[in-house]
Amino acid sequence: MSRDEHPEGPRVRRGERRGEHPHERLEVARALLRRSTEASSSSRTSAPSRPVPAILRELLPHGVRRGSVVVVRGSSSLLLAMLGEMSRDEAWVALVGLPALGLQAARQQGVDLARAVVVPRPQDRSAGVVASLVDGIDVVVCGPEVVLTDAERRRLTGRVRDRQAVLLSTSPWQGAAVDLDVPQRRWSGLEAGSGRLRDLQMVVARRDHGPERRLEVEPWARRAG
Amino acid sequence: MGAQGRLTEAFVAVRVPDWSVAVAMRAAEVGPERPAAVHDGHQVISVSAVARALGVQVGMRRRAAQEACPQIELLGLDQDADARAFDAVVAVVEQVVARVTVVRPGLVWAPLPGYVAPVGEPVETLASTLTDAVAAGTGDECVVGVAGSPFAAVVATGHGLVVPPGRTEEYLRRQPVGVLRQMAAGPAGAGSRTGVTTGRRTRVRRPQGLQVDEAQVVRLVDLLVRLGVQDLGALLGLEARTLHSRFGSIGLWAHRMASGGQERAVEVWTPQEPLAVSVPIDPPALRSDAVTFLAQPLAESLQTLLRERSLTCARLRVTAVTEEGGELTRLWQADDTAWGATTARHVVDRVRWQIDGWLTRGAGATASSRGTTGGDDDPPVAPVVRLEVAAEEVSPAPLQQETLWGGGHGGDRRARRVIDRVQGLLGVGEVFAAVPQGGRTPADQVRLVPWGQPTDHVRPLDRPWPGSLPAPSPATVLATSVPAEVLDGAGRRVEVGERLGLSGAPARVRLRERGTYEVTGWAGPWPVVERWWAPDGRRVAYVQVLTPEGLGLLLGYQQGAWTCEALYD
Repeated sequence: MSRDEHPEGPRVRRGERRGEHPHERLEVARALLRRSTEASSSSRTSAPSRPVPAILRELLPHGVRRGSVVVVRGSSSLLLAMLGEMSRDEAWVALVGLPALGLQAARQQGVDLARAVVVPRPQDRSAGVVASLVDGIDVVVCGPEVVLTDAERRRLTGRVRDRQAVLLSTSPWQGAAVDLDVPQRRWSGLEAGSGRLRDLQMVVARRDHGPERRLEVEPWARRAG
Repeated sequence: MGAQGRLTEAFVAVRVPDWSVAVAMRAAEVGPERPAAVHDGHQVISVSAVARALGVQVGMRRRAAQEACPQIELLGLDQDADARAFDAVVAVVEQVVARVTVVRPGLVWAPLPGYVAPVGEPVETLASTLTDAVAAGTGDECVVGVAGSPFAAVVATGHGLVVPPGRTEEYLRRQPVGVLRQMAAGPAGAGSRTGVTTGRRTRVRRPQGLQVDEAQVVRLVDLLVRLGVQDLGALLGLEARTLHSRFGSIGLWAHRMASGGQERAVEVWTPQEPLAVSVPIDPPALRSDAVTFLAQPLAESLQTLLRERSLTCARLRVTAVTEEGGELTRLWQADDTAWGATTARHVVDRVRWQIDGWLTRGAGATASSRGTTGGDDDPPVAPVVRLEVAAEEVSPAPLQQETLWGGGHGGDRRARRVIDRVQGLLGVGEVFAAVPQGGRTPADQVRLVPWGQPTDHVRPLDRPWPGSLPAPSPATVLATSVPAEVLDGAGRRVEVGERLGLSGAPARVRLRERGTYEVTGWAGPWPVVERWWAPDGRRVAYVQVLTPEGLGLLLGYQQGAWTCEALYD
C-alpha cells in the first residue's frame, strides 16, 4: 500500500516487470494521471478556497472556502475589495441586483470587467437567475435588488455548495459561512474646503461562529504583496 | 509585372460619371439643366456636367464655386445615400458580369476571366450590353473601360476605351499621376463601415494588406507632381524600393497600380442567398419541448449550410412565428469556440431558452401586467407554427484550430453558457457586460452594454479626459441621482458661483427621503464641463462631503440645484 502511495520512485518503475502485478501498474498509471491533471489544471478547479485580500487574513486565515455563502454588509468598498481579490485566477463574476455598484471603483479594486456579467434587476425571477448563474460563474454577488424567500435561500445555499461557487450577499443570509459587517468607518484626506477623499479606514466585524472578532482595515490601501 | 503573361486576363470597369451629384440632385429634386455640385463642407467633390461647362471644378472651395457660377446648387454630401442608390446599379452590373467589386459608389470593376485576345467584337458587345443594361435598369448613363488590370480599366472608363491586350502597360505610362486618385476608396470614412447588409446582398469585407483612402492618395499625387513626376511612366522610372522608403506603403501601392498590378478587393460584394433555415410546426405547439424537438434537425442543416460555404457567423437569429402572426425574435451570440461558430446543441439550447423565457414571462405578464423588461415587443403567447434560425454577420471562417485541451477555456465556456441562459430567462435588455470607457464622472467611466452586443462604439479609454474626478472612485453610484439641499452654518442655501466659488462652507446636507447629514469636511468644487458646444452639454460642479458617520457623498451642482450622485461607503 505504501508503494502505491509513492509510486513515482524509480524503485517501483524498476519493479514493474511484464505480467507482474497488473494492479500495481494500474496504480502507477493512475498516480501519473492524477499528477498531470493537477499540474495542468488551473487553481480554479483544484484550490479548495478563494483568496481574500491580505488585509482580511486575520479574520479569514484560510480565505473563503468554495461552496460557501459570505455576507458582506455595510460597505460597498469592502465588498469590492473582496471581489477584486476573489476574481483573480480568471474567475468569472456575476453582479446580480446591484444597480448602484460603482463599476469604476470595481475596476480600481482589480475586478476584470471582461469576466463580469451584470444583472441589475432580476425582479421576481431572482431565485432562478441566481441558481442559473451559480452553475457556471465562480463568484456570484447578490445585492439589495435580489428578493428571495428563506426557503429559496436554503436551496441556493445547497446549490452553491454543490457547484463549488462562492456567493456574496449584501443582506443577511441564514446559514452563511462567513458574516462580515462594518460598524465603523472613517475617511481621511478631506479638510474644510480642500483635499479629497483619499484613505478609508474601517472596522470589520466577523459575526458568524464563535465570539465576534474585529479588525481595523484600509480597503483602498495599495495591496501589499 | 507580367502583363504579357496574363494576356487572357482582362478587367472591365463601369463608372457612372458624377454619381454623388446625380444622387444628390435626384434627392433635392434639382433638374438636370441646372448647374449643381456636391461639397463635403470644405470643398466641391462632385460636379454636374452643366456646372462643369460653366467652370466649376472638383476641389474648388464652395466660395470659388459660387464665384464661378453664382446660380449653382450646392448640395451636401450623403455617403450613405450614395451607397444605397448605387446598390441598384451594382445589381444590374452583376447580371452581366460576375464578382463585382465596388471601389466606391459610382465605380465598380470585375474580372473577365474567359476573355481572349481578339480586340473588337466581344468586348464592344460587352460594353454596349453593360451600358444598355444600366440605362434600362436604373436610368443612369455609365461608361465602360476594359484593360489588363483593374486600375487600367478604371482609367480607361475616362476615355470610354478598350485597351488592347498587351498594351495596358504602355497605356498607363502615358497617364498623368492624378489618375491614381480614381482607384482610391473614396472619401475617408466611407470605407470604414463594415458588414452592411443591403437587400439580399451581404457586403463581405475581406482582410486586406493595404487600404488606401482618398486623402492619402491626394497627398501623394500632389507631392509627386511637385517633385516633377508628371505621369505614371515617370513614376515607374523610380524603383519600387525607393518609393517605399520615401512614401511608405502608399508609394508601393502607386507603383503596383502603375505597373498594371492588381489591388484586389476594396470591397467584395458577394451575392448570397440568406443563410437561414426554417421548419413549419404542425400541429402548432405551445410547449418548448415540442419546438425544441424540431430545432435539432434545423440546427444541423444550418451548420451544414455554413460549413459547405466555409463561413462562420457571429450571431444567430432565432424567430418563432405564432399562430396569430406574431414573431418572437432573439439575437444570440454564436458559440465562438465551435467551428463554423455553431454546434447543433448550442442552437437547440438557445431555442429552448428563448421559448421557455417567453412562455414564463407571458404567464407572469398576464398575472401582473408590468412590462418593464426587454421583451416588451414580444408577441402574446400563442401556439408556434414556424421556427426559423438564421446566421447573421457571416464572414469567411478563419483558419482556427481547437487548442489541445478543447476549444476555449472550459470555465469561460461554462460561464457564457449560463449567461446566455439567464438572458433567455430575463430578456436581452436585462443582462449586461460592463465595458470600461473614457469619461470623467463615475457614472460615465463604465458603460453597460447588453450581453452579446458589439462593444466597439464606446468612447476610447486612452485619452486623458481632463477634469476626471480623483480616485478612488465611489463604491456606490446611484442609478438615479437624489435631489439634495446643501446649507451652510447659518442655514442659508449654498450656491456655486460663476467662478466656482462656494457661497458658504457646507454644514448640513439634506437628501430627499434619506434624511439630513451633518458635514464634517468637504472639498471641491471640481468643475466638469462636457460638450459645452452642444445644446445637450453639461456643466456640473462636484463637491465631496463627509458625514460624522464616516460616509462620503458626491454632490453635483447643476443649474442652481444640488443632487447626490454617489456614495463613498
